[in-house]
Amino acid sequence: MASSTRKTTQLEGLVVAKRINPGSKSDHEAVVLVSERGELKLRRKGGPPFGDEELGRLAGRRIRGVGLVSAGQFIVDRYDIIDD
Amino acid sequence: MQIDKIIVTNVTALRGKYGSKYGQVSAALAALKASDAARGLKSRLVALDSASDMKAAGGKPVSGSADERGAKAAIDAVYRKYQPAYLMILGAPDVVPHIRLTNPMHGTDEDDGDPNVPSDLPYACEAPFARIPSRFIGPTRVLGRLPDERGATSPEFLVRLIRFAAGHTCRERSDYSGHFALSAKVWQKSTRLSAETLFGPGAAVRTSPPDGPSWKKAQLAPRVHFINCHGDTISSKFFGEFPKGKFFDALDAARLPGRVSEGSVIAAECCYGAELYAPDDADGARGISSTYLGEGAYGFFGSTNIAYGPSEGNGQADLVCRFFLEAVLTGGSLGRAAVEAHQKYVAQYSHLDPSDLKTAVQFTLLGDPSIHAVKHASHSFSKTTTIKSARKSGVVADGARAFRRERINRTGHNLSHTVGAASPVSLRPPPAVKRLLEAAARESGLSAATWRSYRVRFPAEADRASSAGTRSSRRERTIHVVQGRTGGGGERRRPQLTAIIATLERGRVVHIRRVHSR
Repeated sequence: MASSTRKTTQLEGLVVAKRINPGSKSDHEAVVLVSERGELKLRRKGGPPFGDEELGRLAGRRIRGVGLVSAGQFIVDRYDIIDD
Repeated sequence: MQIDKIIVTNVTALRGKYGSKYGQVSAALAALKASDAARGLKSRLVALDSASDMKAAGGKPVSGSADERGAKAAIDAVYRKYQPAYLMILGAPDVVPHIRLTNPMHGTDEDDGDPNVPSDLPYACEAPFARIPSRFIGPTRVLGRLPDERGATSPEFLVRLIRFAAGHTCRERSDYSGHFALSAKVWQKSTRLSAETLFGPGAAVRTSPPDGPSWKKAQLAPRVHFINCHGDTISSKFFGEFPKGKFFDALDAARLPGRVSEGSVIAAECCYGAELYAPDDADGARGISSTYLGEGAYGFFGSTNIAYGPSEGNGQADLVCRFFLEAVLTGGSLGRAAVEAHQKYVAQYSHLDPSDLKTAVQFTLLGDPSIHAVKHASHSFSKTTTIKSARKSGVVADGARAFRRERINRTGHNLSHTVGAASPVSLRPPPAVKRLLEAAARESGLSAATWRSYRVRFPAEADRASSAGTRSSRRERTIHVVQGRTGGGGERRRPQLTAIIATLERGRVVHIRRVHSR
């Protein structure tokens, strides 16, 4: 059995769709959170790392999420839309 | 007495994870050492956190499990003292850390998002601790990491891996005659070229889509796996893609158990393929590399983060992975295959551009470096009664491995002293060159162009070398890149990223090329 070695973080910001990692093997259209920590690729814990349609629908919205920051990504356990 | 294999770890860190169960790890290591002895290898465990072990090695103990500088210095001291043929790191990065090197791709907002490059390559090099990746392009040591799991509280997984290493079988080449090659469909041309080079004309390549992620045991049974798919951080899957932007599950760690042959060796080009994350960060899902090892694979060669390689032709990740498997299949130990892959990759270049440099340092071997998965074909002379008897009596010593280490050492030294690396600089191209690049960009249809410049620096020793044919003009080598988007819009496929790259020496363009993203 292994336990998480990282602490979760709360971040809020604007979700944008943009191309990331150009020219690399991870060159793709992603959903990115623009927050005080800069731009982090947005992922859902347990969700698909590529082409997550649920996250895609958040483009243009502001969210607050709680999750892990790893390797330039924000992997959220949960999030709320906060611009309503 | 010569020590052939040194196993380095942080015992305090392992005890911290496993408590009283650490004894299981000790027992497994004792069995591994006995197994090594039975095949003629004298092995020793050196605890990097032990004052006495490190004093004996002429070094200092690490200050903690996260002490990268201390770990590098300690391993260097251990290597200098014992000069082992094999160096094995035992434990995940929360036991013995990766060295986090500066990401050479950092420079503009268009560069990849990796904050750094976690690497074991510095441990394989003689250069002292640094975060500069170009210091570590000439490995001289045969090294591998046998990992436990980050954050683990029970040692079963680690013990299992140690037992597989202790009980491994060195097999005939014919036992590795089949292969499993898997590619994202968008990269199938590149993967087919790799597969045919490795496995012969017409070598089968599975693509995702439409294949995977449910693979039959018979499909995964071949002991050589070559994988060119997408990967991501904290993900237990690899992914296919076709058409561009449409992704599919290609390989799932959860569907590997019971389907992988013991003795398998895997080379994966995938981003994050060899990332050692805590399974709990992925809802308990163990990563693909760890799962393969836990199912009895002897070695997994992969990248710790975002990798590079073309969709057609072979380059970067394609090459370093192919070089690794070529060496394994000709009877090299896993560790020798890894260091030779690194060396052969770097040796192709006069200088490494940032993505080449990242490729050079991000691929790592997970597995016992001393394992020969495939038997080396020996000469018939060595099988004669006279020679066999002479070896047994000690009249003839086996110096072949020492000669190989001598060659590896020489090659690593030469590379570290002669190959240049490009690093970003704030530099404008000469006006005539700028006009040329602007014209080329217009003709190529680039929009929203950005500019980047690099200076190529060669090691000081390279300038002192007086080898004929080394041009002094290379001291003033710069690279200027104009990059932008081409195509796309309407119903056509989405824009490509295109770069025009000009290499200059003394202000004159000596090489120019255009590249496209996949």
